[in-house]
Amino acid sequence: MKSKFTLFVLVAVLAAALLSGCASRAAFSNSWPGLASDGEVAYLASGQYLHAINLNDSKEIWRYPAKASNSLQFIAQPVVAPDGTIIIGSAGSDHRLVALDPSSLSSGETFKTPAEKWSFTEAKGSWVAGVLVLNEKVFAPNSDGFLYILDLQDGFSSKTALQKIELGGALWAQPATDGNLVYVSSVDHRLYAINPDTYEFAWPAIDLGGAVPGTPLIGPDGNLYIGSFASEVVKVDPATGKDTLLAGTQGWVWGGPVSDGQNIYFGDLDGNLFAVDASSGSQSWSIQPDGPVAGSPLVTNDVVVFVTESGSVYAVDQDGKIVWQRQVGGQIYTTPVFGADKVVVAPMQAEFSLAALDTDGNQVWTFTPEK
Amino acid sequence: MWNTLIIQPFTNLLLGIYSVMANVPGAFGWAIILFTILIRAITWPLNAQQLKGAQAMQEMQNDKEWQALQKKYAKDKEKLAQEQMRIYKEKGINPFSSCLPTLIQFPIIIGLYQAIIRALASTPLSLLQLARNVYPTLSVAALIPLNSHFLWMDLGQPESIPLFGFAFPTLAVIVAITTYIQSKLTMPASSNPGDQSAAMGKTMSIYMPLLLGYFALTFASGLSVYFITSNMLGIFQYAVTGRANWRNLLPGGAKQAQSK
Repeated sequence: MKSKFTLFVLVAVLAAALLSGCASRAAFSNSWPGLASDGEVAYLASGQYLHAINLNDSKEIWRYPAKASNSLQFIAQPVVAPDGTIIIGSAGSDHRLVALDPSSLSSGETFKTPAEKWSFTEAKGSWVAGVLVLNEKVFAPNSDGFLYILDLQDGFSSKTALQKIELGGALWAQPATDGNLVYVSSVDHRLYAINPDTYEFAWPAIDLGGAVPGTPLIGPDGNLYIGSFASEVVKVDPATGKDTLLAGTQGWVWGGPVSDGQNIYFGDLDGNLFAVDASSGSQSWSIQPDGPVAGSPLVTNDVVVFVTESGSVYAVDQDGKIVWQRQVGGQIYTTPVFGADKVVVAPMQAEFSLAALDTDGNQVWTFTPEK
Repeated sequence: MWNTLIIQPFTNLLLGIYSVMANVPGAFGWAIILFTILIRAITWPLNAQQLKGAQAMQEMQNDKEWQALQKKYAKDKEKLAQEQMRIYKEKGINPFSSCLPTLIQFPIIIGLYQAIIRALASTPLSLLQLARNVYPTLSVAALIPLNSHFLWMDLGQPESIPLFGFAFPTLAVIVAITTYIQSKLTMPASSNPGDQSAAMGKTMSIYMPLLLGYFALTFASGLSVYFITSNMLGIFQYAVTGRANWRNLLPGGAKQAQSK
């Protein structure tokens, strides 16, 4: 009888440990890192820290917070505001959006830490997306389905939302703007257009038939381009909100499309990269890299750079010819950034957190955060 | 292996039920309840076996021969254990049959918890993993995002209700109470003061509600919905099979039953 009781206790303890493990992973917002660059510095939002890394020598300039906290987890894309402020939200149990002043660094035990200019704690959900800064306002999409609008000029260190607009569904993509309207996509399948001054909807939300986790592109013709889990990319007239099919894809479209002024580029989770002529709407070409393409492509130096889940970085020219390919390792979902003549990628489950490649695809340096 | 055999089927089952009920308010909560009913139906024979095993063990505790042997070998534990095994064999009792269904609960609990977290996909990576683990028969693109709200709960988060400025964990309390009631109902009366199984049953009736209540307090409330539904179904099963010992719920009820 005692052995049965002991067995029960052991199994119960094991179950508690396993469940705790699951809960920890869930609470710690297990997802791919956020990445941004201001041309000289890369900002990596990964795990419990936001790191600022010098693109020239891969040295860590500062990290935030000074001490790791289980309640703060970073996966959102950091955003560099026009005044140099860095805005980042936490996906941990502390749903805090903070603005950091990198010009005011304090020395910690090991690393310097930027001063907090302000914070916003009203959101109920995780911050997965980067914010949009427009006309001294911050448009901050949250997983709780609200778009929070904050005033950058109110001078408060603890901000209250000027307005919060309930959109529905988790908002995982950075909003886009053409200067007139703010466009927000949602996992609830919809694309919203909001007047940034009146906060009214410009037109009824469009249902795209599947989740929309990517940022809309303001195309060279002024139209919006956006992909979805309905395995298609649509063109939306910003004046009327009328959508028309641009192209069907093999798999879900995750990252937002990009353009070089001639073509619209986007990838899908079945492992394709497509180029569609923006003026005619006809497919220019498509290629099949070595894995699914989740991140948005990056247009730089006359090539289109994109990353795959298989850990590769590709550069293709406007005709779809592969200029170079580099196997970096791990799995890459985060959209690459460009700065200091380098392409920077942030792989998951690799031996390092960042890798910088030169314009010929040669690996220049890697970055692994010190413990 | 764990993913293929437990998490993936659980996730797909939950999504399959959800897809049928997608237009019903609180569809994911109902999916968990229907999932629990299904699991209970599948494990009904095991639970019946548990009840039967517990009753057989209880009868053995009240058996005159066994009580005599307990007195005779009070100082010789080894011999007593041998005699115990002999009687088990003679009466066709499997000593582990009564705890097997309880043990089976744990992989189900862990698997369901992981399936709930995976199905609700609260981060981009978890949504990507979900997409990879859904059977082709399910049109998951149309289902996403799942509505995680059921009644007042967000099934992906621990539950509490603000009460006088305090976050009151309603579900954790209901889980603990229903677990307590269920374990009390299954505790047969024993007239043997040295009955170890009765002593263990009493201990379990205290620790199990605390353990499951802790789980309900700490983890996603979808798990609490499973616990409560499972406990209610367990109580129902004991009641319809006439094995529920309702006297145990009354103060001093167990002693009254023993004296009879």
